[in-house]
Amino acid sequence: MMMDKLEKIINSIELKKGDFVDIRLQKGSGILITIQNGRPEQINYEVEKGVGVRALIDGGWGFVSTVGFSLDDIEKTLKKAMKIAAATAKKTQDKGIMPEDYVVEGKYVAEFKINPQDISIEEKYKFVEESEKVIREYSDKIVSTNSSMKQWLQKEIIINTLGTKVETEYGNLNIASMATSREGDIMQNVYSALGTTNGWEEITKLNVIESGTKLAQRAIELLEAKIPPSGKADIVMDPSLVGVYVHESFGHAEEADSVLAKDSILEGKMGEKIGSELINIYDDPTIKGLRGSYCYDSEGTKTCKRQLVKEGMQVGYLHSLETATKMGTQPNGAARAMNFNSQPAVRMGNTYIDVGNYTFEELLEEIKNGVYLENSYGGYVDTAKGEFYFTTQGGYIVKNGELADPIQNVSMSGLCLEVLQRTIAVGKDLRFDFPGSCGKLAQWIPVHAGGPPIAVRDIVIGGQ
Amino acid sequence: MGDFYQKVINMGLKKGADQIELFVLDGFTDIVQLENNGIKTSESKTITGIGVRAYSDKGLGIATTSLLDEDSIKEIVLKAVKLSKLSPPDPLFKTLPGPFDSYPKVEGLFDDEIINLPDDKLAEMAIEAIDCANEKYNNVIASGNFTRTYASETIYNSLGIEKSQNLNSLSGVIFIKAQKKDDISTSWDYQKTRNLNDFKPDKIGREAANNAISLLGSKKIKTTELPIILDSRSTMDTLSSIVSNGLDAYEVILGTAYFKDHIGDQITNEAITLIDNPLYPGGVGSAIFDDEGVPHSELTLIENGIAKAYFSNSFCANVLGIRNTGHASKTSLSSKPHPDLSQIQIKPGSWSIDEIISETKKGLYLKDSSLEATSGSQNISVLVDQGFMIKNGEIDHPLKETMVGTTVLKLLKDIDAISKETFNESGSISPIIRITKAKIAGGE
Repeated sequence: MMMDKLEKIINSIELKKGDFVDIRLQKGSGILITIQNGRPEQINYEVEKGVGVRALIDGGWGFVSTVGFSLDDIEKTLKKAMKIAAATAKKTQDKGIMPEDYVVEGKYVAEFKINPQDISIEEKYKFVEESEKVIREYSDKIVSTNSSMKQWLQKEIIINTLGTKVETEYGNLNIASMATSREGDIMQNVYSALGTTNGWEEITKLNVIESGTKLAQRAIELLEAKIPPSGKADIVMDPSLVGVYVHESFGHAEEADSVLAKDSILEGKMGEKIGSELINIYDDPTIKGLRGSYCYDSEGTKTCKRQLVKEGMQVGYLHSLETATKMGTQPNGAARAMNFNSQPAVRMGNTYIDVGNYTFEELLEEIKNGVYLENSYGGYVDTAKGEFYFTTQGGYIVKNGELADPIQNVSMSGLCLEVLQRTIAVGKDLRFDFPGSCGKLAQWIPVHAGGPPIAVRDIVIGGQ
Repeated sequence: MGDFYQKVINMGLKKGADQIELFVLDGFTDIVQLENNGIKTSESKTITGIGVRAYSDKGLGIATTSLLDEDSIKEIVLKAVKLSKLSPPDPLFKTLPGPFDSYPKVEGLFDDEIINLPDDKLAEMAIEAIDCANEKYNNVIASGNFTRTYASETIYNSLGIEKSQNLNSLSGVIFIKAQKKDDISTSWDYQKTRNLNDFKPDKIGREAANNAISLLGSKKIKTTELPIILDSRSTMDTLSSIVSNGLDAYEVILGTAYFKDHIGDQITNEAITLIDNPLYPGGVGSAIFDDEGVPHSELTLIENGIAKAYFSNSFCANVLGIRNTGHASKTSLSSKPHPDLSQIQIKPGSWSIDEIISETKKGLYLKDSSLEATSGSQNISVLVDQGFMIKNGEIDHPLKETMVGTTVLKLLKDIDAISKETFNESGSISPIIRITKAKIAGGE
């Protein structure tokens, strides 16, 4: 048993009080199938296998990685991690600390109704082929198409000097389609994606003809769509945009490592009112099947549903072992690492604004005249300054409380907390429409985000 | 190891593959992470692995592993061959490239002094940058990272390519949060070089702090239409992003390149000449060959405002019947190589920077920003994150809640001034430019 061998190595280390070491073995493997413009772009198999060792010595952190699972290499890696941690300690003022007695033992094995690994590559290829073909054949004005599927299975063993011993296994299945329409110099690009930690059963529920046709229709309609207005406007955000907003603009500011680094607008805001009373925000990795779902984080902490905002009041942060210790609270399982070659950092899982009681029609009625923004492209946020910028694939002018002319891609920008403060109505239909890969510290982590549509006053929007 | 790699290629061919390519990467990266005006952690990471491309009857299989032991390599080659047989044929694929008689000599790709840095030197340089960021101001918080990387790349293919290059670099980035009561600004500075003597941690720290302090007191403006001046980094990032789609041979094949069928056409101000130069001595974008082992060469992309050439890899060159310009680039070991730019150099114009600014009565000045189009369209709509208002020919105040909107074609058409001063950042060379007008969405 690898865990027993690692325990021997861990037990052989002599540490002073307050020092800490963890060893994380990880093996990931997966397949990516991509079809572009009717051609097989790639069938790609990848395997990565290695060990990351983290050491906290005299308050200084060191991290070293190595490929493979050789015990000799792990011991050498451990020694090197301790050596550079001790050297770092001499140049570190803000010393690292870890809990003295936080121990977790556990095991999580991914459960699939239909294991994606049991599905042949030919069948997977056929699914991607059908998805791409529907979009490509919809119109001659669709000049470029891309459909892909990525299946990934990752196993981790985590052991530390506090006594934690955790083994995990997660699967991740992601499909995406993209269409570009073109008429002369006018080009419009749209995409849709689905991400899940469930099995192939999620794929069998899909109607690729319906979803592909909708995507292609959208690409064509946008060629004729109007240029969006620029300036301040009242807006309704669809669930994908609410998802990207709550993740990028708000969720990153809730990460306790950013708060401690004085890099978050939410520093010192615990217990304060930061938004409308209509706003409740959660991050919940325990929701089964979403892309950001997991049971234990990369430090071995069991995760849980975390309420971040309650009726407009700041009530919680996302924590690793270290940030929880520094803030004198309990860890909540938010330390995630991309792979063995990266250290765990505080990250989100599935972040969402909770439901209100407005129908979509009532939300439009609420703003009367403004803009409906739909299908997020992604965005950017400066957590220290609290300024955000998001782009959507398109939207509609709202006139007299009804959707009017479609508009081409449009961006929105503002101050993160202003959206929470200026929210005037929250929809009743919760959807997780933003399956994404979140980037932080050069690590890309699967996440999901969403919410109901919401109506917000006075947001700066801009088009070409 | 070379003989072993040739043997596994032959093994793959015997298993039925028509062509095989191995991309072997072996190296490491050392990182000092900074947080809250101090060192947070030191890291030493492996960057090792092998990516295999196998073609059988025009079907492609790609397989990648992080392990470089002989059994793992044999296994991954066989996996790639197996996948290539499962893949339907790509009717457009013709052949992998090579072999080549000669390769260019590129000076300054490797500096022994970077590899031989004493253990704690990277941390010392990081601390020097933090100290310099704090020397003039007591209201700044520095974070960021300092990184040393070494990589040995070797490419083998069944047509006879067997070529290695060693690359190293030293880089540092400092992010600053500056605060004056409730007013917060953020900015940064960075440097990446292949030569230790060129590396200036003190300058990174000072510039980052000066940038952030200069952005305190930002104001909202009204929605309007104004000229925009792009500093050299903004010019580089904006024009690179346009060219990287517009003249990418793969985007031409997909039908999404801005300048498909426009080679020979005037696409921008006739004073714009832009080349890609991967041979520039010591450039961080310089290398001897691309990610398929094709020798690098200089390529003129825009000359006197006229689109001159697409940049390509072997696949695109064969499909379009054009020269393989040696721009194959893998974003990771497991990715298929697609065309990408190496190192853009933009020729100077005739204006002085002072003239450009002083002759702009009202406008915007953007620092280190990219007016990049939304993916797959020509529409540009971006937030002004590091921008200033120009009034009466002088930089007046920083901006907040401001967005710029235009399109790729309008932006190129509207360039009316190019500075005669250029800035060379480790091989990327750019002047300052002015765009006569763009939509400004303001928060006032």
